[in-house]
Amino acid sequence: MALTEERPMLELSPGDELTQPLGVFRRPRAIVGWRSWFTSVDHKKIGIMYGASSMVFFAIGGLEALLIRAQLARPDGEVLNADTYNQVFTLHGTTMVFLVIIPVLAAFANYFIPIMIGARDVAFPRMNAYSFWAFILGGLFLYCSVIFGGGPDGGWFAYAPNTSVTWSPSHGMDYWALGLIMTGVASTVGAVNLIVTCLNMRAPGMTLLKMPVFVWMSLVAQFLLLFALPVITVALFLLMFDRLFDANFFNVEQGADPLLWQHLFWIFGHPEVYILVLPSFGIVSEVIPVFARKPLFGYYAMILSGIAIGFMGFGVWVHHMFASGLGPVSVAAFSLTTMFIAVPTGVKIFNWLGTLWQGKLTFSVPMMFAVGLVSLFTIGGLSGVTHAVAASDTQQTDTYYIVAHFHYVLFGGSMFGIFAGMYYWWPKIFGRLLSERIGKWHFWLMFIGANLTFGPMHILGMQGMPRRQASYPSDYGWDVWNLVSSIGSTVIAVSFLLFVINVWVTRKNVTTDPDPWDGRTLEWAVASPTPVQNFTAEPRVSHLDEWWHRKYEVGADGQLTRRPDDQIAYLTPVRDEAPTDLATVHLPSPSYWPLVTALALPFIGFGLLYTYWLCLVGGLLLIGGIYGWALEPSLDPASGHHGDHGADHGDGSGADSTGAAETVGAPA
Amino acid sequence: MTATPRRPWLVRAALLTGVALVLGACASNAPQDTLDPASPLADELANLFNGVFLAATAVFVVVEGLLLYAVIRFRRRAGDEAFPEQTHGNPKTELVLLAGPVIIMTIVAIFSLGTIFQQSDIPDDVLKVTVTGQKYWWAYSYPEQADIEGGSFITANELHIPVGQVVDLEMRSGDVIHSFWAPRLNGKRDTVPGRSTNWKIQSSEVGTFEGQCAEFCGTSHAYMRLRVIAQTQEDFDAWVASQQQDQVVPAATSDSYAGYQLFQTKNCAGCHRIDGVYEDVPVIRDSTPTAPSSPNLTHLMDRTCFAGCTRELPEDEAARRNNLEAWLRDPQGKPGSLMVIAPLSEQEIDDLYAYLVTLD
Repeated sequence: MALTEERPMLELSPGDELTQPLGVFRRPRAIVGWRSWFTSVDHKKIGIMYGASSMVFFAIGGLEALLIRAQLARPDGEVLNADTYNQVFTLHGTTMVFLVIIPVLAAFANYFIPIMIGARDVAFPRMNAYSFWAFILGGLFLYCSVIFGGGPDGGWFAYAPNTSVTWSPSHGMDYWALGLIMTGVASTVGAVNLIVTCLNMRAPGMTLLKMPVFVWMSLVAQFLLLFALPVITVALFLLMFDRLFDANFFNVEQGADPLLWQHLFWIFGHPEVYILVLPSFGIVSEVIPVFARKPLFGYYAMILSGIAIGFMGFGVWVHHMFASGLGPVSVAAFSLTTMFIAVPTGVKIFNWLGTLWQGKLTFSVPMMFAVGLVSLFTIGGLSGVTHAVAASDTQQTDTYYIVAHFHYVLFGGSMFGIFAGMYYWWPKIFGRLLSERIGKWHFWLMFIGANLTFGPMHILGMQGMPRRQASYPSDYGWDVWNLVSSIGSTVIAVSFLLFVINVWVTRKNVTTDPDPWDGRTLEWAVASPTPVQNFTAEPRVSHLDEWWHRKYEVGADGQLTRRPDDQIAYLTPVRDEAPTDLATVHLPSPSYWPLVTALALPFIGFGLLYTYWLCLVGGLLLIGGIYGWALEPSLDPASGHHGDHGADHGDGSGADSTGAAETVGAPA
Repeated sequence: MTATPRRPWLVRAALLTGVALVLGACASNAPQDTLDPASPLADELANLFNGVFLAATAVFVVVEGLLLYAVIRFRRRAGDEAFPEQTHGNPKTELVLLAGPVIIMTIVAIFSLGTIFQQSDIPDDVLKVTVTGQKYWWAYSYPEQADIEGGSFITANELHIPVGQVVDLEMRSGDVIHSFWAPRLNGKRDTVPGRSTNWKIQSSEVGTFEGQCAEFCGTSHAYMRLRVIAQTQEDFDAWVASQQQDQVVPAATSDSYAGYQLFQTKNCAGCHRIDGVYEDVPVIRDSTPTAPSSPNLTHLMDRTCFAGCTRELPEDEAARRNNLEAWLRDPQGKPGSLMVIAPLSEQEIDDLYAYLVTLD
């Protein structure tokens, strides 16, 4: 893989002009301190920022969920009025999908893909920073609606023509559409970046079929983002043009067909489900083998089924529209495709079971969340099969049965995988160990809370309770289960609070153990927290589960034995060893330009809503930002990095090398 | 988690409580229960669901059982440092496991796909009703046809059908997407503006069946309810005959005359139609989605509910008066209601009520 870092064109030498592009900013140098977060292009810092901001949004989306459940706890609820309720459930769905799960998975992908494939950083570090800033600004822009005249009220699915200016006159849906266009830009740029990173930046020897499953599943998800996001972006642009410039894309009077929106939305929306869940599957596929002390059962089947799900995910969207009257042939076709997407999904469940089977299972918190995912996602998958039966789905669609189904998938699936990842990787990211004791409380309360909240919704749906109802009358047999569900939601809230408490109380629980779980993949071969350069020298990979193979060998007696400690070479200085001299490694330099360029987006957004002058400001920021960015060398000539590329290019192993040859190769 | 529950009776008690709760919930009065069908159409769907649910439950028990077994059986015991066998997979096992879902899904497909085509197969010679979803109420148009000789008419919120017969519903919308759903009679079908599709409904028993709009349609979505009233053929014919009669203008000397005038002066007639009396507006929006469209009040007193079926019109005079007058005092009592009315004095409310009760 020799396609990277050969970009000398912009690498100027000290003394060259142009070190301060446009003469506006002095190029930032600091890689520590609070200011450094705004200019950092380090994939790890960006990953942490993604994670932290998505957890804040998770708290907000969770509060919205609590409001919904408070309103529905009793019949004829009076906590929220109908209009506010509609805004709250719209924000809840939008937040959880676009501002929580997508970015928190982007956090893991950003932080760990480069380390797991043995790279220094992502392919385009400044674009990576731009992705983050566009995401956070888009999310904040969307939430500005709540302050400026009312949140979006058309549902996260925003079916036309209910989202027209006629029926939704506040700026809420405008903020929604523009905000999602911004986060969409962020995710598209991020997807391109991570795809190129996976394909081009792998360490020598790490063939595609030696990539960890988490990297694979994230890669599939990035491809899904790349192909699905343009569709929703088009739909959002059409909506925006309808609302802001009196276009007629969804105007029925002018001959439009509102089902166009549904097709566009769900052609994006269904792959989106797999975007949200595949990386979590990847996390679990990393966690289970580590805590079962045996390799993943059926690695190739896992990869292939992930790819199959990715492809098939684009061919099932009409199952969201079984009640819209498309005609029996198309309904039957999509009913079939929906049934058979259960097959690759089933393969994953069986392979996790196969990995657990005859393992030596240690139930640390990450493992508990991983097994929790397997058990809860199974329920979500099976209820999905009942929806595939299109005829009887006309009873279940748009009821609480569906709400139950996709919360088992997205909460029991995605979120449990995400918390597995949090507990698993926390020591690597922060050099702190989360408390196992609090973590176990967190798991059990979340597991019980999820079942209490979402389990009864199956019954409610079958008893005919439609979703998106601001209230319900008391004589429909729905009272008891709604109350149970609301109680469950507070249990989930308490469990998340425990996670926050866990983070707080363990803030001084420092660990320097680079490999606390006896991990299998390369991130455990570097110090905790990961040093800024990731690796002292580029690793040479010869195995799937490379790090495991460096630690263990089959002894003379045929038994797996751990090599003596002095034969296990970590890939950075760990514990008390002297740190790597940063002047000897190639690191992308910090930059203001990603932030400046991203700042253009909310200016343009506000401008479209209030005064076009702001669009002009945004446009100038955009052009200026790109101009400054383009003229700025990716590597600051004055960064102190000396030109001979010491350890980086030291061994001169020819075109095959993007960096140092690791002196301690992997054992054969 | 413990390998073996220390208190097995506790687990059993918990399980029993759970089962009792589930059964208890199913047995309660749930007028929109999809698993309590009252028509061959809904029955077919309930059977399909039950079949697939049974298969899903079997898979659930096997998968969760294996998972639970693995979690208990393969725990690493304290001090056990040995490694398990390092299997990377087993192509034979994996193929067998792959065959499992393929076979199950094929069986499900064979048994279920036919129903999709049955659902859209609507006989020609049946009663036809046009259902129009409008914010936030349902209009039912009964066009002139073999079963409706003597003139077409439009009514609101309550769909009357003859018992036992398949009824062909033409689904339309006057503004945004709604979804017509009476769960005990059949699944739901969206009403999409600019499109018309056909759906059928049937009841095998005489009775009143609850339903509601199932597609989010705006602020008052939760309050867009409906009823289907299945009647014997004689009762249905009598109802049709009464609906076909125009209302008449009350005599100037009657108690209801003041209310009749108020209906005009308070501009009720700017939105509501009363056949034979106030015919300024169509019942179904025919031009723009913002054009007024409000329930036809012709034969209002023949109905059992109003305001999107969120308010009752009981036989009991006092209760009926109470409900109607409360509505006239504050139509916004139904959240998101599109009805606007200038504040009325109590006298005006009494007068209007006196007129409305004559609409039978």
